[in-house]
Amino acid sequence: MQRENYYIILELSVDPPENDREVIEKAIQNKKIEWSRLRNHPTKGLQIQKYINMIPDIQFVMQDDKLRAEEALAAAEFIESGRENKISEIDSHIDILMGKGYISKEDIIRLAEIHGLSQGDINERIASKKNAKYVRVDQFINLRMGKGYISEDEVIKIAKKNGMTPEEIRNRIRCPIVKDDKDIDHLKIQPLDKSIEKAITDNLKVVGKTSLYNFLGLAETCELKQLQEKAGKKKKELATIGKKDAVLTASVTLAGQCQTIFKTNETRIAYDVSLARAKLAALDSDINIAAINKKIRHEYFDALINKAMEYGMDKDEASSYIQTYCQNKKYRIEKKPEKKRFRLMIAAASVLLVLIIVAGFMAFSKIHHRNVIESEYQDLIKKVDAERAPDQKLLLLKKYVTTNANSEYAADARNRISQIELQINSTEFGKILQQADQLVQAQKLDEGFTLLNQALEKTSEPENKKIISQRIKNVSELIEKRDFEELSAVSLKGDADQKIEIYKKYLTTHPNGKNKAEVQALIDKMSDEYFIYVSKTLASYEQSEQWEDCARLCQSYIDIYDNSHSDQLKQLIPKYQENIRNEKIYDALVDKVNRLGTDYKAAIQIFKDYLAAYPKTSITEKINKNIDRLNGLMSVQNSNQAAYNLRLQFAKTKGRFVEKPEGVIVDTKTGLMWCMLDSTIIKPGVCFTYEEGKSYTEVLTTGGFSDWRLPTPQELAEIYKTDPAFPATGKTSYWTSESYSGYSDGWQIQVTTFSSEDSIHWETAKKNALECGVVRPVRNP
Amino acid sequence: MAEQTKRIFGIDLGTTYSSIAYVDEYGKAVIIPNAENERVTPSVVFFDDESIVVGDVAKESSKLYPNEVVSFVKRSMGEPNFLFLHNSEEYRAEEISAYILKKLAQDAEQFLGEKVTDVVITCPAYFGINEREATRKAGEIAGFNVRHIINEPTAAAIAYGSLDSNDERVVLVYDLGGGTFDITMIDIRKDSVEVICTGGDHNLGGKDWDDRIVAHMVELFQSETGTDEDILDDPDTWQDLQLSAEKAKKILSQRPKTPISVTHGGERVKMVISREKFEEITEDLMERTIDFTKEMLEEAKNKGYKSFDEFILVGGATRMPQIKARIEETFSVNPKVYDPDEAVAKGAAIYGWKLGLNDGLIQRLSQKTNKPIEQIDDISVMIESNELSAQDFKEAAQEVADATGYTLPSIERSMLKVKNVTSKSFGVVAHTPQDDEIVFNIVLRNTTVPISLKKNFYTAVQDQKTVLIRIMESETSRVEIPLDHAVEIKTAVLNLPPNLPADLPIEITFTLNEEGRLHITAMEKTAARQIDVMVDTASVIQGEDLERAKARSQNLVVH
Ligand SMILES: Nc1ncnc2c1ncn2[C@@H]1O[C@H](COP(=O)(O)OP(=O)(O)OP(=O)(O)O)[C@@H](O)[C@H]1O
Ligand SMILES: [Mg+2]
Repeated sequence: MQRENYYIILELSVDPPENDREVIEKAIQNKKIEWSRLRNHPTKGLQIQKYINMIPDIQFVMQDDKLRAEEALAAAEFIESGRENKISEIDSHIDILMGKGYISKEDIIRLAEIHGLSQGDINERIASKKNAKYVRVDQFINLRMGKGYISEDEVIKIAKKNGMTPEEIRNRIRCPIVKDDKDIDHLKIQPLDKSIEKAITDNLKVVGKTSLYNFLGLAETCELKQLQEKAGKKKKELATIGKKDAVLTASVTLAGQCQTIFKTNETRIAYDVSLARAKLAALDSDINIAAINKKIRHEYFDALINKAMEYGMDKDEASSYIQTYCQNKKYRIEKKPEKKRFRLMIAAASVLLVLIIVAGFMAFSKIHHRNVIESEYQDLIKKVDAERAPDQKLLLLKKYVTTNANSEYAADARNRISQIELQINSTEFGKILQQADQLVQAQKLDEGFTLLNQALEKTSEPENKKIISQRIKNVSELIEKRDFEELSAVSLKGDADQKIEIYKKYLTTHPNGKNKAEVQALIDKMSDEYFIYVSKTLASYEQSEQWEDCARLCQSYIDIYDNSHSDQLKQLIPKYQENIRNEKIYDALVDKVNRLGTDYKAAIQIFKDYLAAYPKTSITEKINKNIDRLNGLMSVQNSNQAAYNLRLQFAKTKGRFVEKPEGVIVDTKTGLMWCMLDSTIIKPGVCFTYEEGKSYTEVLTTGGFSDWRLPTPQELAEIYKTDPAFPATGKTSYWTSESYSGYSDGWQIQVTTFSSEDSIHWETAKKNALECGVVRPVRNP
Repeated sequence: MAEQTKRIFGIDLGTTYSSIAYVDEYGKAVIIPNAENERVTPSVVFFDDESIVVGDVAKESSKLYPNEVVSFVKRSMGEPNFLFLHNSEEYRAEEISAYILKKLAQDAEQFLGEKVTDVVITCPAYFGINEREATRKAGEIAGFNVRHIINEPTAAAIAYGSLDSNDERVVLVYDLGGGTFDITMIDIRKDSVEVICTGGDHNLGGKDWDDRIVAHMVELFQSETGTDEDILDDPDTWQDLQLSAEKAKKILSQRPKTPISVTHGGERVKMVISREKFEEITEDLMERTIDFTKEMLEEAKNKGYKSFDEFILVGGATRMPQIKARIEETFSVNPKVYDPDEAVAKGAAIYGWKLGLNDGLIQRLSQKTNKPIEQIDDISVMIESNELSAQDFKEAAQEVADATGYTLPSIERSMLKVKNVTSKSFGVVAHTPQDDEIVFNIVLRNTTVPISLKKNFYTAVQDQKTVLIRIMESETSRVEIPLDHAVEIKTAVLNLPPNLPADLPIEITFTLNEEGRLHITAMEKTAARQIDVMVDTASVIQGEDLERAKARSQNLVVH
């Protein structure tokens, strides 16, 4: 993030740059006082604290001639670029004011005032505007993204309007693109609380980010889980920074806010909507400009609508948006003679229409006339009588009862129903039907379905077969409906794999389902989302080496889609199969090694041979671990061997060095007790830095003692330099207890070592604590 | 009763409210009400024309004279660039805090008819080295003999532990005050109070909850009136909202909703805030306290404390019901709300009282044994090592008991040991061999204090004149950290004697005392010469400024 410019913060003159030290000092002092006052401001406090923390740097930069000159230059550039931004803002205001066909002198004065420019500047802009064509694709997109999504139709519209291809437009869009506005009906969104939104915006300002997505460094289309994980990670990361300044406090708060906002889909969408709302702010500012004395002339109103449409709203959307805005702002919209009214009427009519549709369902039965009711019932009875199958009769009557529950004929109808039911139930066949009905009633659709199918197989009577088939059809429709509802619920909030699974299940269980096309469309729409899921899951499977699962998952994508993703996945499968093979080989190798028992060397050789032949495979790492493990075992073997050799040598020290207890050598001359084996023998080939050497010593329990320590250089000299000496082998460099703080400016840790090239000549030397050394622990008796 | 020991008062210098307490003749800690007969005094200072007003009147004045009033000054303690300007005179945070202390003491003197000279002042456990030093300086400017600075949670634990002194237990003190949040694990024993681990943030407190309400009110006002104006730019409105927000918050601890009104620029908007809405807009703040608590518990595990016996809540802001509920839910405990406003001052008073009794004991023992007073520091250690006889101790204790009228056991228990830890790590700037600047931590946070560490420094060139040591504070537990993860809190300059050779070791001793304040001494080892160390801390008032502030404070009338 670029930091703010000090000239601008201090409100110093930039052109010409202020260079008077006294003036600058005074400015800083004034800011100190101002910021101290605002330090606990409820919303700006954090930003202010950031400024306060900047004071030392401000002083530093502003007192240094060279740095200050650079600062002044940067300030000048910044102001220039601000001017450019301003120009596009002015242009858009000019557009609006030109809506009435001309720009008045008054308008120019007003614009000049608003933008703090001379009238000449504004006139110049107007002139250049007349033939300039401005591309505002991003503005179009931003406005439409306000909804939280963009429809395919809109993409095409925007493309057409700007002479671009839909693909180019799609590339610029950072929100979901949907086929159809209908898909979004479920997005009944509670907007985010404004003060939370404000808190977020303020904190974002402090850290210099534009949105929570931007803060997390993730795309706005990212999955919820990913956002959550990143937020958690971010929080942990921040916790390790040992300094709670304003930026960190703001960041921590933001990370917390991410966690609450990205907890559920609802809260996230709420946030997206408020993000979008912020994008609408451009239009709001246009409306404010058009409002002179809290009144909007009708020409302006039309211009604003055009403007909004140009941004991408449709006419009704635009008009209602602007009207609501003006209402809130208490702006009066001047009526346009005659025509204007018509428009309002249309708006009112559309509201009415909605009301009527809703109310209609309730009103339906009431507005039927009695006569209508009577003749309708008679018609029904006629139909019932004409019907031969009792099942169909029932269906007609039941339908009547449910839709006309309060009609005076309902009782009669119910009567008839029970008679017919009695009739049906008297037969065996009837019983099955009844049982099936009960199951269906209890929502046990699948059981009912099975029962009916069994019955169908058993019956031979064609009439009954027909009845059952009809029922089966009904039940399977119900099942389909239920499954589809379940599917819809999952499609709203499920994870990609849940969605795919349920879609697939739907298609297999309802190959001719009513909603087949829709489900197929859902599947098609998910090709990207599912691919992302697959890729992510593959990564985690790979991590845990679940190769079979990897292959299976790829196949599942390939089975559904045939696109560039599936091509990509197809290429992965052979690799996974290779890995599956390797796993088998690994198991075989381990088996072979286990049979070798304690012959670690041979065992290691087996692994090494394999590595020589196949240096880089998916099991290399595991094999290396095994080699390490075997090396460890072997070193125990070796140290036993080394101990044996050493004991022979100790026997030749004329009784100076005696082993007591096992592994501990007592120097009878000084009484000090030494570890028989040094760290090179216990851990061959391991580098011990000084700190590691110390901790190695600290945790050591050789001989049952826990007070081992590093020896002093003198103590080491005593055993190696006086005869009969401690047996030594080859080149060694022992860490001693003597260390110094001594960074390159005096604080770096230096350690005295006691070393020899040939195990005969020993000397002390200094060595950086981060290098490798050997440890020979000692303890006092 | 011939009072032999000096009375030592305990002062809780809070971000939003302060109070003072003492231990009465029955050995009980009591709060001393102020002149307005309130047990707590708002930590708000109003610079009236001639005099300085502290407390309720000042707080109410903030609406009328927002630019003459300072609130939440504790948050600026140790902040080098805080500056309050009044009548073209500049005041620093320590000085303003001193006025609050003065007000408390004056009112207490009035109430008791006795002079307040010696005090124990509390500060958040999470205060760093400079903030602690600033707190002590505030006491000195107010003219006190500051006997000790102790941590607020420790004080609360002392007060809590004194209730029933036989029970040994590990308690978590969750202290959410007006400006700071401290979470501390404390091991309370019969004769000691030991801090295990501490964490928190001194920019997280009840005020932040208030601020969220303020922001919410502003939004409602804007949408109601259709204005875009930031009404908080008007200092009167800001102060007004700040006060109403706090009131609303307190009401919401009792009731499900509260009416509230905003007046600005002649427009008045009435609104209602529900507890639900309040909790919604402050949820992340509460979550932060929970995160800190979890982190601290993790650290405590590393120190071998895997569980705790009790969870106690102190600080006024823990009265918000959601806090208790959230803690119950997260940690499956039943937290106890313990005297949230007064525990800290009382604990400080008890600690001061014990210091006083201990003084008396030492004085008597010195007479009995003919040892100079300075030689008798830790009585219990000296008895154990037979430097003092148990008999002498018994007699001395009895004499103190007779002289003061307190019971013998309470005198014997006065040797309470308080063990504290550092809340932050500190270290020095060092250069790696690649010549990158890093911070090399000398003391890691949550180390028990007092602690003294020696580090050798080697002169780089012959006849080196000075060594510059930049002292850095941070909140990590790692030894080497990047420079920008730490804050520079002081610089120390060693003025070396002339003609030293290169590569000469200078032994620098860093001592963090039991209050968590830092002392630095240096020694040139070969000649065993003490080396002059100049510590410069812009962050804490010192030198001429300090003297001027002291003088100014003496002549000031505080109401
Ligand atoms: N009933 C209540 N409900 C909610 N908050 C309350 C209630 N009573 C007090 N508070 C809040 O508690 C805070 C004051 O608590 P306390 O006096 O413990 O803090 P402090 O000592 O001033 O601050 P700190 O310890 O952080 O320096 C204020 O923010 C106050 O608004
Ligand atoms: Mg407090």
